[in-house]
Amino acid sequence: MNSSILRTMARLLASLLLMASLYLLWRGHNAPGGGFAGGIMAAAAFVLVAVAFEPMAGWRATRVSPLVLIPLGLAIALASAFAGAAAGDGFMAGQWISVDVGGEEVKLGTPLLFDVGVYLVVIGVALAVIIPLMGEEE
Amino acid sequence: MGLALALAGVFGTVPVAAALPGRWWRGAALALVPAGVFVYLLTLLERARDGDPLTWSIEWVPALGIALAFRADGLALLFGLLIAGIGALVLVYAEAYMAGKAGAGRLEATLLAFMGAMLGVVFADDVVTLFVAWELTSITSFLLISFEQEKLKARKAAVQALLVTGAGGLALLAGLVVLGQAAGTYRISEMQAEAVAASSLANGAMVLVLLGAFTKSAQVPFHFWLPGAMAAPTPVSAYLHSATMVKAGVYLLARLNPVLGDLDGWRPAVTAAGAATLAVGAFVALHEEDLKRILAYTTVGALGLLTMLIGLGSELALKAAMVFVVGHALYKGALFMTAGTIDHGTGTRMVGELGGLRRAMPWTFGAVAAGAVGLAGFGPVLSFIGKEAALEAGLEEAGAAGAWAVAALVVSGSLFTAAGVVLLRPFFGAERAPHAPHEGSAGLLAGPLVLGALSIGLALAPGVIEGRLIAPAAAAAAGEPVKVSLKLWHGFNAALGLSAASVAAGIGAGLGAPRLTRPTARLMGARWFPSGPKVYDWLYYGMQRAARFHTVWMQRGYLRGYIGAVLLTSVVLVAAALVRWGGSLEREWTEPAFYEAVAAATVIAGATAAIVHMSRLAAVTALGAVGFGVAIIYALFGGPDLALTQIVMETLSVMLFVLVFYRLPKLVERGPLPRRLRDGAIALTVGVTMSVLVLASLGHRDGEPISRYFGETAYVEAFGRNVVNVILVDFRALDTLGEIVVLGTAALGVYALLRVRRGQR
Repeated sequence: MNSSILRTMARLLASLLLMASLYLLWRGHNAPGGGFAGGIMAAAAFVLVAVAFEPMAGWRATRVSPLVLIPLGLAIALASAFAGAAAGDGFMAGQWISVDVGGEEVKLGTPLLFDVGVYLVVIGVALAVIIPLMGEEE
Repeated sequence: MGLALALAGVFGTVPVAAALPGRWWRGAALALVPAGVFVYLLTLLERARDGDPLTWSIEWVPALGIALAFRADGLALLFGLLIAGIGALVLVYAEAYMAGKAGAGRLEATLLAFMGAMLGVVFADDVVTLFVAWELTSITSFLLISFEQEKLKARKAAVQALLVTGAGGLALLAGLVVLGQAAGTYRISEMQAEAVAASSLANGAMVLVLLGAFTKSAQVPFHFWLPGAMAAPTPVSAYLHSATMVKAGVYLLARLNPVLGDLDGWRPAVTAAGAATLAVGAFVALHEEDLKRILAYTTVGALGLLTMLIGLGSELALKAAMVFVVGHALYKGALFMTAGTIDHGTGTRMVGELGGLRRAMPWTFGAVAAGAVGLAGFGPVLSFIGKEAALEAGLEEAGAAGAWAVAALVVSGSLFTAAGVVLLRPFFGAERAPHAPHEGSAGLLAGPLVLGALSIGLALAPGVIEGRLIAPAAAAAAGEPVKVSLKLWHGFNAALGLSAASVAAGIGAGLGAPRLTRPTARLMGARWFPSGPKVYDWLYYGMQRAARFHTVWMQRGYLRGYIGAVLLTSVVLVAAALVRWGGSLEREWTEPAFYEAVAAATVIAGATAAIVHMSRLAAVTALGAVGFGVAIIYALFGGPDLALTQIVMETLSVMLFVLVFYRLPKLVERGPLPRRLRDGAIALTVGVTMSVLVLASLGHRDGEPISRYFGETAYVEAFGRNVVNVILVDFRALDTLGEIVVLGTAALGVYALLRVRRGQR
């Protein structure tokens, strides 16, 4: 698509969408959101770039190839699952630590890490399917 | 701990074998590991004899009573010593056999992996541990038979062996689990024969276990895969397909004899299968020309002999079986290795093309001579002691079983002798070979000479093994203490007379072999003769035809066909459940709020538009509207997470559809009316059924809703206020893990397919 308006807006919108997707991922454990919804929203951001510029631009925008994101996400999810086993609580048992951020207590745990894995897999999957479909006519 | 370390050591050497450079010393260096295991196992013999075998276990699936458990009793040690000892010799031999050819490292690595698996089989005390190791031997065997993977014959033989032993393995898995249920424990050493016999599951378990053991140990009618497996390099044949793996079935029979031996069907079934296999193997061996195939069939016969002895089950028979296991491994291992040496030295393994090798290959001749005497089982060789004991066991047995056993032993004794004569023939007469024969290298000769010497040496001094090795093994197989005293010379008795007669007849048959066997060879070559490989081929290609028919019928390649099948199947299942339930569908009607009505109207309008529009893009967009309407409904009824996911998902799927449809030809007509009516009917049925299901389930909530539990525990146990997310990433994270694995795999598949299409253009 050759539209300079869309191109200008796409940069802005894509970064906003990415930030929103990260926010969804972060707050997922306590409010609507999570790795899946966040991942799809992030994928939408990259697809927007692909639509506005050219398909491979959306592919490159992830920096790490979507084909690598999939196994990377799986590895992260698996690692979080083994953390429980390593701590002796059994496979997939959640492990939590509390971090003090500016006087406010923030709980970080392996479920969040697991969600990060889901997030990355979803981005990789969506892009690995959509972008080649777009790029076929080249 | 030592047992686990020994296993880990063997498995740990696998990558080392693959990484080491291909020098002459590699085989010997690798052989140090099994040699070390061999020495270690020797130190355990005393404890096994004293009835205090070494054990080691860690919990594996404690909830199911499954453990990684090992136990080194007499039976396990006897087999373990053979596996480690012959394994060390085979590694040396394999290096010389491959002589620096590419893939030697792969061969040795796989042999080591097999060795570890085999040690796992014999030392396992838990049936699941045993099964895992058992399957690992099938898989490594597959890799080894297909070692020369560029040859069709090797691949076919490997698949055949894998299918036969794999099918038996499945039966075995079921059998072992049922056995564990019947016995109330998965620990073999804790199983009580009385408990098993009292269970209604006992006979089922027995049949399944027998299937597993018979396929693995190449009993008739499953024997044919073993000669086929001769496509493997000779070190593999010598190790797996004569000395060790094929004896796994025999081992299993001996191991479970104390548990299952008193069931009604056990003795007749095991004895008969063994006797039949003994006769068939010994008989067919005479019809073969290829040294390795002759040996393969005599191995089938020997496995039958062992099975038969375990079936007889008397103290004498079990003792004979244990002696014969060792005796057979020694002489057959030696013979197989010499077959490879002859192949190397002359360029062929065909008996008919060879003659007068004894001058050029004197050492090989010596080893073959020792092996042939072992095969005949007459002379100062360990197998002689085993066979005499077997004959005595048969004579001692009252009734038909004993008579049949003795007949099978006598007949097969002469056939084995004949095969031995045939094996020796290449060494006599005028010198003949495809190229000038030369003696094998030290690496090729070490194995057969050591084994041949042991076969003779242990026969001359049987006292070395009788109390330490044979007695504890026979005791473990009998389930009670057994006294063993082995003598080479028993004096003149009935068994000796029978042996002498059968050997004399065998020498005569062997000398006249090609002429004598011509009529039966013609019979077995006939088109209609149901030989094992033919039956296998019928089944194999029959299965392929059935699969093709089924695939053509089911997989028509039309998306609407699949969707129709999936939907109708679920509708039938749901409708059947609803009819059986038969409750009332009456609901209290509440006036919908305005925004609820709007959402519902959006959904209905979108669905109608999707049907009416002729343009695919418009239809998909309309379906998107349906999705957003549903998302609004989710949001209204307290499912913000669902709504959010639905919205993002809907956006993405509309995008996907648009991208795909963009490439499809324009939709010009809707297809014939009957098809539209049919599709409409399916759609209507599904819609009505789902509506009824929703109505029915809304009004009939029995039991505590699970949402309360999740609501209460989500924050307490998982520190999350969003119950949906807590379920996804914590409570049921294993499901999610499975789902993302599926998603990722599917995406890689789609990506690859799209790339292929582009590449073709």
